[in-house]
Amino acid sequence: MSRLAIGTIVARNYLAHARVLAHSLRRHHPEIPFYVLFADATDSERDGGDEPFQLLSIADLDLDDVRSLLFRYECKPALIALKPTLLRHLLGAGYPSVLLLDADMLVQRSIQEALDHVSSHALTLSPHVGMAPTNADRLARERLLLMAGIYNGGFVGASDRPETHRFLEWWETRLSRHCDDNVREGFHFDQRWLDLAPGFIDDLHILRDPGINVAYWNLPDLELQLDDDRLLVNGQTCRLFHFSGFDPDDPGKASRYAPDLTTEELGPAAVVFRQYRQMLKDAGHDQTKDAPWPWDRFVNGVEIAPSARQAFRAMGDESRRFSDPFDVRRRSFYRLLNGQASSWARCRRALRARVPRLRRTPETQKPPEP
Amino acid sequence: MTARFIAVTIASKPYLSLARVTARSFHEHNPEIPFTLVLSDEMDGWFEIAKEPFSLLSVNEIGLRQLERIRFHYSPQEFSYAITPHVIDFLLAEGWDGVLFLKQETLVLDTLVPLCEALQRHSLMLTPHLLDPPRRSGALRRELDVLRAGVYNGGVVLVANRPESRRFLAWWKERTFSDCLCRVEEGLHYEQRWLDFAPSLVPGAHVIRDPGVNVGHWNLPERDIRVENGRVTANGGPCRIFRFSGYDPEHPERITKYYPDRRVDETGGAASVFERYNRMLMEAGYAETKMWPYAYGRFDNGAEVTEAHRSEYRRLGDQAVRFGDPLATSGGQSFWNSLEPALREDG
Repeated sequence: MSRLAIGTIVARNYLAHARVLAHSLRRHHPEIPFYVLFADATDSERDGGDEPFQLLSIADLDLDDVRSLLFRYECKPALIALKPTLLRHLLGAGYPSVLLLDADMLVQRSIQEALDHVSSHALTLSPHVGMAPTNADRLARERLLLMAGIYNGGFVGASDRPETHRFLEWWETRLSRHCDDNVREGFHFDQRWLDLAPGFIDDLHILRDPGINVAYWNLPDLELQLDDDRLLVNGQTCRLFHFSGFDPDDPGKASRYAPDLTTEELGPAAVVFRQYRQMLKDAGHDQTKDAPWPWDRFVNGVEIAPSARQAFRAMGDESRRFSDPFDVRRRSFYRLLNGQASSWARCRRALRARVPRLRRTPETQKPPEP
Repeated sequence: MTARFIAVTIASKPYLSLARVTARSFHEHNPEIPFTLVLSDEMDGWFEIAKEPFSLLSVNEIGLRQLERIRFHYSPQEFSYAITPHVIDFLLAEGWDGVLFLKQETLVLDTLVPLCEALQRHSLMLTPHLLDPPRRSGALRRELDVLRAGVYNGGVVLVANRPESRRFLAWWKERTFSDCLCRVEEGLHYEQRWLDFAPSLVPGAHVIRDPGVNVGHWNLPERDIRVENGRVTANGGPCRIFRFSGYDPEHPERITKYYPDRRVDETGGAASVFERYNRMLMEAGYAETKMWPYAYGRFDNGAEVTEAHRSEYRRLGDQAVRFGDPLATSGGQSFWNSLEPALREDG
């Protein structure tokens, strides 16, 4: 068995990204097993087929109450919340170390040195910036990082150690309820929780290699050069590129999260974006990019309104009464929402107290205060 | 130990008694290391330095650019926080090998030599508020409070004289010059949140994971504090630095104003440390010094500087420089005379 496995998590709309990452890994690290948690794979797809990765489905995970998690969140935060679960799963399968990558990454050269760090430390994190930003809008960019998290959630290396398991269990618990953008309260999806890791983990490694996890948040600070087809960042080989927020249908922008940053102004890096876009197309992105997320509907096909998710979350532990929140039968959450479960007085009170005007203006209400 | 270290704290006159307690407790356990106070205020003859347990540096002497602007830009508390990186960098520029910065509300309970030795191997040493996911009640609340206020506590910052730490201090100075404010919805919490960047920006930065260094309200539920023969221990090891963030000696039953429900008598062995601290504060003249005036808190016509004045001044950004010292009211070009009449009362 390999000493290390790599994993990522996608829904169908990012399947092409996972394929591209898989091909790039296979090219530079053919010996490393690559697992993709394909959250909405169909039964026939689950049996394998010809994907360039090892497919995992949600049913493979050891997670209590997974349907509640999928109900609580929309697609993106739900996938993010599964990161610690996937890390735990692969460590539990016997890999001494596991690296979790975001699907929208591309291995351009060997990342062996980074993998060696992952293997030799309890936890390995990749900071958004490994040196102080220097350009004119540096303060604004740093403040965004203070709000979004110092370390990037797209690169998390974990090894089979007691302190790592304690950390991953804690992270999983937090993400099961607090995996949203809520800067005022102090969290931002998976990422701000990682800021606490240097306090919680003794053997933590911070990867400060400018060639790892190159993305819109550090590109403006990096000196870029092209050496044949090799991209150099600050004179170092660019090894792992992260196309966070890049939309192949809007290829002029480096990221939807940095709307003013064009790929053209990135000079030598522009070609990397162009190549990546082509790879996505070749991997079938146009066929899967609009695939609906199946967990957006109750079992009867009715779409789950944002207010319904909010109501479910606002119930806190009361929501445990509903073993399957997607259900629409008697005594279901669906019936409660639709006023057909009058015997559930306690839940109704909880709902009314925490989500006033739920039924009157379900689409316009503000989320409840946690 | 051949390297030369210095300890430093920052206080304005009303908090001089706190600085005295920090200095005295530091000297008791670390007689070989000098301790200095940077007064974020004017002395104005209120005390005699020869009788104090620290050497004194004036805020005018530490090379602070645009001093008149920054001391008006910030409230007294924000100002004392904002100059932290300037103070540390000034002392390193003076040639010290390492600076132990301790916030004013600190009690040193044991030798800090092990920390000084570690500082010879690192560029920067910080203490996180939490060393493990808290297990006691209110865990989530406390984690979120830490995420909003900063992962590392700004009350204990140890810096070695190395190029990488000097570069970090230059960066931190620039940040605290304009953004040493509490605006959690924008990611800001005084000087402290900027420290979240330190481990990724500074090669050789070290996170101190010692339960006996920097004990405070944020980690007390996870600390077993005991006092035996006058020696204080935390989770079985020496308790070296105890911090009293938000402690009000006039409400000695409360740990901190930030969590008014948490009571000193529920902290087990730590209760006697709080009592000791309270006694030391009183002996250090707490009741007297707290009445001393903050020199930058009034215009030269006697009017009190309010948050409305400061916020109006901050809004001007770099344009504020044209007023010179904003505390000076005379002349048509003064900040005072530029204010709306409603902000110019009781002159």
